[in-house]
Amino acid sequence: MTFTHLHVASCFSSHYGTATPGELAAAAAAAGAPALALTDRNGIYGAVQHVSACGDHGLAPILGADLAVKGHGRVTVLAHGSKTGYAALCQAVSAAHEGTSATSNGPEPALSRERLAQLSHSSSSDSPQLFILLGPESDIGMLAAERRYRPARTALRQWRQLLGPALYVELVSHLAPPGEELSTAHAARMLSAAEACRVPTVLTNAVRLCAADEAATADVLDAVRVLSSLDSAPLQPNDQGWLKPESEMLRIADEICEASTAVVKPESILSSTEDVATACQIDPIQHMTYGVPKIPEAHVIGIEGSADEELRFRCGQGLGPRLEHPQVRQRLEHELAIIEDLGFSAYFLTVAEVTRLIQELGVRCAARGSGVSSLVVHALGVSPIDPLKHGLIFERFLSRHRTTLPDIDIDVESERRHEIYQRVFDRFGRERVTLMSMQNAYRIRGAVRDAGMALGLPDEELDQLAEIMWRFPAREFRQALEDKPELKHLAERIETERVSGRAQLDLLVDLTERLDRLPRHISTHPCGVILGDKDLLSLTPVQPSGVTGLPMSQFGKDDMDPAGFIKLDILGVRMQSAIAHCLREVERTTGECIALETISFEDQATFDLIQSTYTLGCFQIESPGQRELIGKLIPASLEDLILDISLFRPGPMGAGMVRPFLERRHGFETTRYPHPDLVEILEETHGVIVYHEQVLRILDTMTDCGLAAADELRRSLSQADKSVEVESFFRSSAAARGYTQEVTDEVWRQLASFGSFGFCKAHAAAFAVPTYQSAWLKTHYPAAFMTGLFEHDPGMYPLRLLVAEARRLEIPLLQMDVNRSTGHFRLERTPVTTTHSNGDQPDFIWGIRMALTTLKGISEAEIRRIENAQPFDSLADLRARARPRLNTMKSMAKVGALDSFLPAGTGRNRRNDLFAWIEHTGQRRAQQTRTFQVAGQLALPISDTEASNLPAGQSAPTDTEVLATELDLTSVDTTDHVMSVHREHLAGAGVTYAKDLLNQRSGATVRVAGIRVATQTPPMASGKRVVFISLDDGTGVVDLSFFDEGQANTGQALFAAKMLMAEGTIRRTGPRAVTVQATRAWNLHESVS
Amino acid sequence: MTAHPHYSSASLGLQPNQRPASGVTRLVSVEAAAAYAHSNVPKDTLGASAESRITEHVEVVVSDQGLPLHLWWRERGYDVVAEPLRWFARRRWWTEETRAERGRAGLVSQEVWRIQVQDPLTAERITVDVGRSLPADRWRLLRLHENPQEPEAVE
Repeated sequence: MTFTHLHVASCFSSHYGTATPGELAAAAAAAGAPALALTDRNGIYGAVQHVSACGDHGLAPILGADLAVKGHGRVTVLAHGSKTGYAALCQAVSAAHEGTSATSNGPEPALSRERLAQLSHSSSSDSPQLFILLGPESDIGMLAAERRYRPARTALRQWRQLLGPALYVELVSHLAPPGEELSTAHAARMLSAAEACRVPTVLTNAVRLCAADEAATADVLDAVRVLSSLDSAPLQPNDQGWLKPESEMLRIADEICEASTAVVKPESILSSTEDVATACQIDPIQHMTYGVPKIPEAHVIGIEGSADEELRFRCGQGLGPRLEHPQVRQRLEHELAIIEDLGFSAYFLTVAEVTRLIQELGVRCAARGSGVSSLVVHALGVSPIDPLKHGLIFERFLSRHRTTLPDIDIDVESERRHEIYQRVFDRFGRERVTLMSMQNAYRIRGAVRDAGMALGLPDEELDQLAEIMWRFPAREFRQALEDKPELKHLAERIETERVSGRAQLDLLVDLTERLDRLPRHISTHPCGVILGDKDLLSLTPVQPSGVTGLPMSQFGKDDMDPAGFIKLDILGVRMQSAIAHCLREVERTTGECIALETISFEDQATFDLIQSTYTLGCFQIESPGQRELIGKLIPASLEDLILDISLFRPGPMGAGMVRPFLERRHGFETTRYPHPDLVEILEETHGVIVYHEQVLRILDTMTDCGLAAADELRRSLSQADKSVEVESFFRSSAAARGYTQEVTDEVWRQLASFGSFGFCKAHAAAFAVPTYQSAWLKTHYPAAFMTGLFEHDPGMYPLRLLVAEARRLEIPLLQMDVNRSTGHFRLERTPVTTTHSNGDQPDFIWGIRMALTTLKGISEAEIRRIENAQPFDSLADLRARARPRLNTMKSMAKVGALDSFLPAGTGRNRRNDLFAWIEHTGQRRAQQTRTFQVAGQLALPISDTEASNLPAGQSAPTDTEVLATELDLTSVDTTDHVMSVHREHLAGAGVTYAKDLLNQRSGATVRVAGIRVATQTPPMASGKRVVFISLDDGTGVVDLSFFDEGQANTGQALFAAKMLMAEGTIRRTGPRAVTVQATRAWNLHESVS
Repeated sequence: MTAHPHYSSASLGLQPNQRPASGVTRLVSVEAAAAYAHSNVPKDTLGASAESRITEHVEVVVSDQGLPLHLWWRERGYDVVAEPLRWFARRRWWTEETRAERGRAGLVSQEVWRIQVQDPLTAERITVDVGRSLPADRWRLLRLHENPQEPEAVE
């Protein structure tokens, strides 16, 4: 007798299951099971992983879901092993999610029993499409638990009437204490009911654990699911819900039959279990079109004839006269032949259509990813990059050898991403499109918080604990306590607690480790859109996404390729929004339309700016590490930017490729090539392998394998088990082609160490364009560009650092003014204040007016009312027409947004009086009945008598008080830099400012101080952790590096302190590159007090 | 990339800083921890039996299938005379244990057997609950039943 588990929850049953589908399949196979079901709660999130794991382990996969039926508890729904069965399952799951919300406060997913019955009925075949198992959590299960025998039977008869042969009673015993839920007696009562109603039974173990020792993890999940501590959460009865082997299951069947009054043989239960299992076996390819690409039908985008011919025609149109060039013609033919062979013509046309939709909406967009390697993609107008010009290889994107589906990414303005999604849904039809989802897994901070909540630790303590946790895998928490200097203090506390007999923190460490990597919640993927044919919704269940009104698939990124779903990444990029805002502001204020697409890539002024390393705000090159690399590399062309972007990747940085490259570029080391054949390939990078494209060419040149096979070989390089094969193939083929042993050795050494770490040049080329564009705008339209950055804050830094950068650029920062500020940051003409302006100087410069949006507590409706009613001639006018709340009035007065109502020249001096007046009179005025202005009647332009007759009494705020108010109410220091307050103290402490660091000699000891604006721990060649912290000190950014000693001397302050003072030595790494290697740092407040 | 710290006037060091220095881990006070521990005294987790509860070390001899056959208690041997009943009872491990690392066996529940044994000398029959503790695989006597309940009759 064999046994198949029909009710199994994996960790994709969020906050319920503990094991991955892979772990469950491995365990089932090891126990000798023939098949295995996956029935996660509310969905089939793990279906693709399950199918592929079952394939790996020789198990027949069964798919289902644990669903709530409105008013009838939870049931197990299994798909019949057929195409229609799988489709019915997808539809049942989607139906359960109808009317739910992507946020957690909506109704729980559930479907009506009628809908379930309807989906389970089959019009054609004898077998039902869905099997419904009523287990302990179903209505009859709950009635049986309460020993309400008669109602249980009545309910069961109703079910049978509705579902007929689709219905089974699911017997589960977790061997709970006698009489309790999930006890053997509970199962026996259900067996008796099933017998009485002549409903067949199956045995399952309602599995939620792979092994019993995972039960403590499940306890924590049970507590977290109801946001409670272990003390008060409803927990599982014990640890018996694990994937038990056949022998244990047979024993449970015996015990249930023994305990039941009905005369039933255990064998009959087990054989009906196996019958259901057999009927439900899924053939992935036949039933799920697993691995078969699904593309919108050509007619959807208005193509009547063959998609191949249409694609050829459009490419010809796009390339125009360039096609006469034999090289271009040849490349196009080559690509088209491959695309036709793979049957992807319609896919390319689809992508072209999406691009057209985006452009039609007037949204900025740019292609990204390996798709940029394709001339077809370029010819269709999807990507501005000409692959021939940059030596990009089509086979890196698509080839007959490649088993993965093509992947084209499009970056668009983040602000308008949802608008685009909506348009794509409308264009292709809601049955062919769905968004992609992603599972968010536990990382260290979330794991500490939730484990702590389960243990009942107070929130504020958990906040403080989470603050010092910095990016180590949660499952290595205990190890981290030994290794990490910032956790040393915590480790000591745990020891002390342990000695005094308290184990809370010890348990916290263990439970945190247990939660690592478990899926926490599902959310909408930031960019993936799945495009399919008319059957898409029979192949994936959908549920509401975070994007209003649009559904998302239950499948994620890694499921796409194996399952054969084609996705298009439409990624919202805030830099594109920032650029769009910048261009609009220039046009609004001057009427000038900047055609960014046509600017020269050889502008010296732009490269001067890049080389200066003052690149804050520029796409891709603003991080501390990038500024340092730029300072070393000194980019002077678009090709250099491509190189820079390619080098600044975890792979190249981690593999130590950067140093040899720089040595050669600056002539400290002579460039040599292993063989003359490779000169042409490696010239652009001074003989160092940087790009994937170079790896492909080297392999092709030396082995004659062809570029398609070369890309396969490149992928295998990074896999330890396969690289041996690649090496032997490479050596034998190269030898056959006449390369000497020495040459082969040297090339292989480079391939092995860099080849798998290199970066796809097509990716970098796509990034380099917006990088250059943003630098160009910063050079030529600095105020407008900074306005765009303020508006969308696209980078890694807080807004207040961008404001500090604008101040460094001497761009006037105009404080919030209720008569001039709007819901957006705006460019504004500002009179030049210099007294000796001569005729050549313009009498104004561009400043940036702060937006109302930064004011804490102001509502969108208030902002709209203010915008619509501007300008105001008095406080009374403002109150009457914009109707701001009292708190908003007070905040505006405090930050100076109402200064313009005060008599000329008094401004800031009377700000406190104004605030006191508003506070004093505000409540009274709010209670008065408003006198509304008669339509058409204009308010008289009289001066604001209210504001000019303010009772005096308050003194003017000091500079420091003004700053404090700005930070409290807007989080941005507009009038001056925060650090200015500390200037005196810092001078006493001998602090060196960022602007002066470049003048220090290498090796000099310095003291620096500032506000933390960035913390990074990039991968290093040595494998040791280096912490990079950037401080903003008001004159620029100081970049600090902390090695082991510096980290140890700094301790908890390393990740927790917001303002730091540090000591260290100057390291000059290039003409414009300087960092401070810190020996220790401490909280600035501690040194102040 | 790092989360943007929230800026407030506290950055200026203007207000007297009442909070503990930023970043110092403040653990629960001793009193709070004691109160917590007190509130977590294990309740009767092995069932609400009014029978006398004891936990005393015993020896149990089991069959190949894991069924109890003989019980050794206070240096006397007893035979199991009726079909034993088994279940798994929950433990409040988070108050009873100091560690809960991955892979620890027997953390969440304890295997319990209700057996009827006969004193070979007096022929007296008694019903007892014995529990098996993992990972040490030790048996303890949990309860003596004066008037054992009949197993549940299912309608």
